[in-house]
Amino acid sequence: MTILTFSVLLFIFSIIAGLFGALTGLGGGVIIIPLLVLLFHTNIHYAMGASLISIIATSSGTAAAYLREGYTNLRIGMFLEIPAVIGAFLGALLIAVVPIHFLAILFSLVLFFSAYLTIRRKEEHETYLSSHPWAVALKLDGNYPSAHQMKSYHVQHVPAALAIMGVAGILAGLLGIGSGTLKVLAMDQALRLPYKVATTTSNFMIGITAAVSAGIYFSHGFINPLICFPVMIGVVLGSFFGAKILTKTKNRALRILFSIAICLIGLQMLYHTLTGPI
Amino acid sequence: MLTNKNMQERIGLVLLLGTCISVGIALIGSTLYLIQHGSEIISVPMLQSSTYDLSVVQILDATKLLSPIGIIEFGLLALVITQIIRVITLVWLYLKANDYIFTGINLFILLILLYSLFRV
Repeated sequence: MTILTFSVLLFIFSIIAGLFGALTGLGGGVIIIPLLVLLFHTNIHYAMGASLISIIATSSGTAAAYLREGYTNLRIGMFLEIPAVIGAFLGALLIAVVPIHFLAILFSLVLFFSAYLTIRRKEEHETYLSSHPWAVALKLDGNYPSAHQMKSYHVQHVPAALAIMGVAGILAGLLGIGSGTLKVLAMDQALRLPYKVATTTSNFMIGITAAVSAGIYFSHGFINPLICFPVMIGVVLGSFFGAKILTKTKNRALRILFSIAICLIGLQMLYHTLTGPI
Repeated sequence: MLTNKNMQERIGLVLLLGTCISVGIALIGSTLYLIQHGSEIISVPMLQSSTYDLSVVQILDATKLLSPIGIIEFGLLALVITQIIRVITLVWLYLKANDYIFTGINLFILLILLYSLFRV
């Protein structure tokens, strides 16, 4: 295969990964890594590096549109970034000493867990009248546009969300993923934010967490420009189209279908790891 | 007093501009690379074990020589630097709003970002 053919193929598959990632809400990273390892036979470290770069590009490129809509809560995002960036920093440092097989197995487990959360997700929870004391002190409460007027929300269980963000950060650094599913879990289930606020704030945070890991990945030599470039452009384009389609489709059935596909990819990844060199 | 909406729009603008510039730079580098090397056969080490410029200084040196790989690397680096600029913008906006707790939080995140990228 010539380099040109390789780049074009990788570009096309990355568009599909980005599309798929946006439609499931899992993000392009968890899909591009098995794709690179299983189909293109790249080193898993390069796959993780390319995934990180594409995540930064996607998060930054789409944040502008979300910020304009007024759902993103910057204060919550930046406050929760504290444990997330510490985790991402430690996770990316650990990568040099953790065996590759362990990374691949951990990655498969994250895929299964993400698929489970995606299927299980409930859209709305009850309204709270008061907030967690830390949320009051840091003025984390906010409001968001709904059908007729701005609706306000009260933030719950801040310490639990901080803990989940720390774990999300470590996984993000260790596996080169955005950990969007866990970030959304922290804000949706612990802080009890409206779902759209949780997803847009998570999207805003992902770029910063990924940039911390990327700094360290550069120094390990895991950022391979030949692989990163087609992946970055492809995933950004795919996510963009995915977000457009998403607003027009009912996505419950799609989500279940995709979750099954994600589990199959996870199984394939496990099989590949356990039966041979990766 | 700066409104929240105003702040969000400025941050959004920084991000969009930064992403477009970074992707643009990487696009130039890869076009040059594909023109020069596109017809070569892809080798196993390229996907498995080759190493590239590891530090910011090395990447900048390669970029100065206008090597296509160096230009792509610079574009990827610019994407990371965009995140640094986003946090600097947040520090500045919170400082202007006299919100010292959040100025501190953002400064801390900025330090970790800078340290992870520039540490030797």
